[in-house]
Amino acid sequence: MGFGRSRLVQALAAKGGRWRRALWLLAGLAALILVAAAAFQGSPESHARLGLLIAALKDPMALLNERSPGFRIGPLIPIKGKGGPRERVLSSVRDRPRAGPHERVLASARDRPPAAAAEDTPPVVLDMPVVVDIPTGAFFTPAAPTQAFLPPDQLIGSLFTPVTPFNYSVPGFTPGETPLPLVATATPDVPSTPGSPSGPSVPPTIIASNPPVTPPGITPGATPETPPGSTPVVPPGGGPIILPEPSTWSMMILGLLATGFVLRRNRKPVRQ
Amino acid sequence: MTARLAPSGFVRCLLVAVCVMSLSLGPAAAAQAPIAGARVWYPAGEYPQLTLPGGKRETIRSMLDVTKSMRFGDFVWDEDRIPKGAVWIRVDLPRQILSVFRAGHEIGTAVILYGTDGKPTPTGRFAILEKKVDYYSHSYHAPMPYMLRLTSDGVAIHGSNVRQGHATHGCIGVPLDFARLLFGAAGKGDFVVIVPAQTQKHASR
Repeated sequence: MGFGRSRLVQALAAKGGRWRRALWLLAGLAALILVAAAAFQGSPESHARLGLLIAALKDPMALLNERSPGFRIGPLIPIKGKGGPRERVLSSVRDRPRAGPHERVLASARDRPPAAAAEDTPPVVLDMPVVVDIPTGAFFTPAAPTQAFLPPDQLIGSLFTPVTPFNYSVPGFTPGETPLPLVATATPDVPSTPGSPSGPSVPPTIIASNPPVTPPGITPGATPETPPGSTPVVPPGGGPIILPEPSTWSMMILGLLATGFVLRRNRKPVRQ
Repeated sequence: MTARLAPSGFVRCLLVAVCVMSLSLGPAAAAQAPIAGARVWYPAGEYPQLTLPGGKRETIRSMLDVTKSMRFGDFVWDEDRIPKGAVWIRVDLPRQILSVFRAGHEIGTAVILYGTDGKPTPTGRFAILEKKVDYYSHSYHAPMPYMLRLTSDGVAIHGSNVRQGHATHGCIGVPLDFARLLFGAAGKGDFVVIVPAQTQKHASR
């Protein structure tokens, strides 16, 4: 046989260069692993030699370059002062009104005149404090049912500024200021004398709150002193009516249609 | 029954075997190696020197071997087997790296934040003027823990939230834990070198 090739070598030679490359790769990797194992498990001299090798390969600037996260790019955010200088505004600007939710009102109340127009209405001039004659025994608590008839905007406004549906003026007061409270007397023997300014002053016994008392059986809108523009809107339920927006309606209809479509599609006949 | 492997399959098996072998050998080798991964010791007599902005050169005896790119907030601190000696700090602005040296050995490194273009960080050689653990800046309404003041106008090294995309108003921000270690290692009078971008020089042997 002499130098005859073995079957494996012949097969490798027949297969071409792939096997040869694989063998070379295997041999190189094995040599690397052997060198590394010998270096790590060798003597201190071998450690020093390996250290010299690594030090020769790594100068300080190369090490700094390796660990660097890179150059700084892009917009930067300052970390101090909460993102920049403080905003300083004038006190007049500071209390500017913020944009709130849109006011949504009923169609019947939408066309009511603004408050400025209501102030232009000629006031009913009275020369004496307003005295309402209420028969004895007809008292009731006026605040809660009266405010329940008010629309929400007047209800909120009444918490801070008295709302006066009656537009009257009292000597010593200008429109827009807090009017005199209505004075109701319970003394039937002292008749009310609207026409005599110099009449005897009746000491107030009960101070009713504004707006005035609405006796039972009298519609607030039908009160003769009430101006036609300031007729309060009374919802049927006693509270504000919430009307869905068209988008809400459309979304609801679309959702119902989609639900129906899915139910119809899932109702497939069972295959026997 | 003989299974015939294609050459590509054989190479794949070979690579898998090599990976398994290296994984099994790796931890044992690292545990026995005195220099593996932690520090690069330069041979005596061949110490490299870092050229500082003022023209002075500092000898480097060993460096921390951080082989991968550090992320924002990362730091390395290793002063094991390092003798006592003079401490100096090198701040590399373009690389965003701070290095702490003691007796020629690097004992700590961290990724930093520095000033913006509007309020840049001054460069050059500075001495630590003041140290304060709990410092609060009334100019910026911000706490500056472990503050090492460098200039009289307020530039300092202090702990901060080191995140990518952030910058300071001229100070040098380092991670808070690193700032605590640096505060303990550096003393008043130790010098700090802040390297600008345009005067980068390679180390000379």
